[in-house]
Amino acid sequence: MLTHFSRRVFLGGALTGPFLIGAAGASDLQVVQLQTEGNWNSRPYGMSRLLWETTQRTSIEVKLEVMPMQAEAENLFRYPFLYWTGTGGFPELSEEQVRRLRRYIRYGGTILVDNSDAEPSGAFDLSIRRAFERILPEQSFVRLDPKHVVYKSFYLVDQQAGRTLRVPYLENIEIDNRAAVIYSQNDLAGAWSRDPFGRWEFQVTPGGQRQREMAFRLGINIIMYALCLDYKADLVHTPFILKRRR
Amino acid sequence: MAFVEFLVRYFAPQIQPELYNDWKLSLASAISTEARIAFAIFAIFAVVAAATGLSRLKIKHRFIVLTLRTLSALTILILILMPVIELRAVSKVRSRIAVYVDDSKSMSLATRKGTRLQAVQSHLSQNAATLNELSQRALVEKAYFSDRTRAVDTLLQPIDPKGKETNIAGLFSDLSQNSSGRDLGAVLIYSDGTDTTGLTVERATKLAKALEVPIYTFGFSGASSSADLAISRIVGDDFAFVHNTVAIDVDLEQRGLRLSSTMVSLKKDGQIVATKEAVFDATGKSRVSFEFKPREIGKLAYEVSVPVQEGEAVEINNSRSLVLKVIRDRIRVLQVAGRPSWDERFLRELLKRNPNIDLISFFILRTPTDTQRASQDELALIPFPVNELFTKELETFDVVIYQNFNYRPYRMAHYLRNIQEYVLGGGSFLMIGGDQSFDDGFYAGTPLASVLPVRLSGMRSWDPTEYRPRLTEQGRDHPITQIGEPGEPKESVFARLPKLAGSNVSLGLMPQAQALLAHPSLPGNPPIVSVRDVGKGRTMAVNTDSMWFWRFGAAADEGSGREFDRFWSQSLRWLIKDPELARVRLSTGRSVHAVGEDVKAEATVVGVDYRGTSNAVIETELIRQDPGEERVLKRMTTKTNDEGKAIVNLGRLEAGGYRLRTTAYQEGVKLGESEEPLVVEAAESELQAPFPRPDILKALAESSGGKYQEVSERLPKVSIKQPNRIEVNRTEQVPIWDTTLCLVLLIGLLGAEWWLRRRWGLL
Repeated sequence: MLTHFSRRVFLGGALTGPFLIGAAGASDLQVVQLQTEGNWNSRPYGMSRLLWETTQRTSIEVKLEVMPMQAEAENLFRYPFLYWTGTGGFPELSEEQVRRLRRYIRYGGTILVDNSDAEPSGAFDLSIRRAFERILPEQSFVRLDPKHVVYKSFYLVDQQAGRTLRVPYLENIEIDNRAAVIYSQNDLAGAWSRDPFGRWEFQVTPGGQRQREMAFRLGINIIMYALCLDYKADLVHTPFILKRRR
Repeated sequence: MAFVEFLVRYFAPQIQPELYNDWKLSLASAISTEARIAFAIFAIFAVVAAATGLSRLKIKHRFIVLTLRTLSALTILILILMPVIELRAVSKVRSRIAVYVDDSKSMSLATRKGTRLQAVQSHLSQNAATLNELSQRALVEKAYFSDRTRAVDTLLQPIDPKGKETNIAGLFSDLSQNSSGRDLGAVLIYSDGTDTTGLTVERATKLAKALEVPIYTFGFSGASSSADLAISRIVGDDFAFVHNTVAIDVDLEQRGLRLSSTMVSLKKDGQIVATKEAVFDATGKSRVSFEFKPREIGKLAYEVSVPVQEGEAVEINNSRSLVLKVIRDRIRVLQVAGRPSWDERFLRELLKRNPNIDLISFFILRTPTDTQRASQDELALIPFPVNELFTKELETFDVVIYQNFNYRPYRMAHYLRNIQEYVLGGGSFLMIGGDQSFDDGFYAGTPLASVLPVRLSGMRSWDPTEYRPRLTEQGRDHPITQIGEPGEPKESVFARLPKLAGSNVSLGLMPQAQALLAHPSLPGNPPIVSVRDVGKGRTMAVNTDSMWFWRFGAAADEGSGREFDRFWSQSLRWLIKDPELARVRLSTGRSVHAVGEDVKAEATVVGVDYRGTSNAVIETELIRQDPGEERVLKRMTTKTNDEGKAIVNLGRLEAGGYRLRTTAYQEGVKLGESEEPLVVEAAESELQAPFPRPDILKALAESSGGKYQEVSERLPKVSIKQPNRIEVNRTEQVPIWDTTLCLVLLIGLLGAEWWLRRRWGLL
């Protein structure tokens, strides 16, 4: 179909006037963070830092402040990206919370679950799995294929990332061919977090700036995936991506 | 019978049993079946109760007591159930023999002895004596059959066979249902066997076996029929995709012409599209296949024909027409989004889900001002093929969507003229709002702005407030706003949907544009959704980036989000000018009509708001398409009624292919036009392949135990299946319970049991 591409790439365009920036619309990214009982806000600076990096590195218009929100909140369905993190276990969700979250996912919402404990089979992990057994009883977490679009939605990512690298894969629950729930057990936000003075809050292990950078890249890819879905699986992208991965 | 005679003589000596040849036992008691069962259980219980406590007796004594008790119980039952012997004088009912003669149109074709029907009547006349003999043994019912059956007193009266179809399966349905109080003993069928409903030998065999009576069939051999060449069938779908290969198979049959081959032509509008040679096999049959690619969308009429041979019995079956509904292959949509957003994401998800849409997306994932923290090889970004898309490929898209896209950073100004020309030339363009769209995308004053439905001001116009869009008067009946549940009031749909947020405020509408949804509170109620017919194309403006609220936001209130799906689905249909949404439509019901039928067409005219346009002038031309030229045969003018409809009566037309063209005007202004192919066929189904089918008639006869022979042969011996049905001429009921003997017997039996029990020490 497209046999020849213009040599002009979108990066080579004229500068966008500064007056265009900042007029946020209803379609911009506002991340909401799920409030549950227990320690639901274990990385208060993590997601907002990722959002800052996202707005710096991509064309996505984001609202930098993460909005805490309960599952029962009336306006939950204005925000299709829900961030769910925490440490330790949390009590069972109420029936109404389960019903609302099920509907949220089925109608197009994406949930990023980030285990700040970074402990597989730890208290948070067990609580999350118990919760999703009720939210989506017919589906369960499966490993995200390394070839999944999440790993190429903006950056070409070929390794796991987070504060730790204890679990070498992401998990997901797929609804209608869409990774609707993405679960990291490596404490992604631990790698993103900077305190108000700009210092990294947590050491990454085994360590290195590259690991932290990869955590940002993976986070941006997850956001990009939520907004563009399988856009990067379109045929027109394939030869470019294959060439760069070689 | 001897025992019955004894009973009758004992219980009713006044009756003469020799007057009756049959009897049956029945019960005169009026008590219900449940009560009878209860009494029977009680009798069994009485016998079982008598059996208990007999262990002290010798076996012989036990047997005597139980016998007495059983007989007592039976006697009581007789008294309760009141049995009677019904004496009957019965006789067998004579069977019926059905004689059916085919009076379909194909029976008018010539044989050596006149028409096929005349040959049949001649056979019936010559075998009248045998048929008379049959009528002594059974009741002979006579009828004609074709598309229906028609009982007659005589089959020898000359008639004109005019039946439009031969339906042998329908004949069998009548045979099995119409008993007339007699069992069917045999069936005689006179026909050429040219069933027009697609009856196969296998199905004929099943039908005959199911009837379970001997069937005698009389037909014609191929040699006895007249010479003919026919297009017996065209096999293929009645719809096709534009620019895709369509395959049709043409079945040909010839008898008596000794042709080894013939040329078959496929024509459209009188022009030959393809020609193939058909080679006949030993049975005189042939099949040729045509493959072609339709180049237009809509209904297209094709004609398949073979040359008329000398001496052919039927010439009109040398050509057949087919009307192909040509539809789009897939709608090719180009979606260009200025940045990833929820509005883009939900629209992409919807379009990708639709198998009829071929979606090409380009999203700007990074702007020139964004920080670069990775090498190009670590990014999944590709160049934006601006030149390729908006020059070479543009014409291949059915719809181009700019979604919150600012063209300026990509130096696309000169491509906007291409899009304008694409629209004026018949393309469709949709602009979706956001803070980089319309005025905020700097489109004011560009060639693209001149074809948009909304007028741009050149000033920034983004208003972030929430609102619930108002359905405009022009939008009420427009297909794009038909998104509610069936029967739901139109206004209430938009009242219950989630509020939208943010709008690109325009200066209003461009000429010939319509606002379908408007902002409810901003000054001048600027359009939120508007459409425009411009040049040969169409444009649509959605001045918000929050339409996705109707999908995801609706889920919060237990909504289904289907309104979002319908809104975009209807929008695309309108943009690509789906023929079903055309504002001037013409329908002739069926595309193929038979000669002699009154042909009528219905024209429908709706306004830009899709409400019926009354008093519109409808000018209809009946056009004959000959090779290389178009001849207008008739011109008719009428006006639409209040519902925007008008009937155009074309009367009876000669065989051939036509084209109907309707143009609608109001106050001298052309509203639109519509064309429809029309085919009038001379060949009725009866004459399309009128070759005798002795194989069908043989299958009927041989699978039923009957016999097939040609009408030229003598009527064979017809065996008649014995009837089961009887006629009861006289009855008499003899009660066998209403006697003193029964009562005495009961007292005697009970008394004997009591006496023996006492004697044997049981009491």
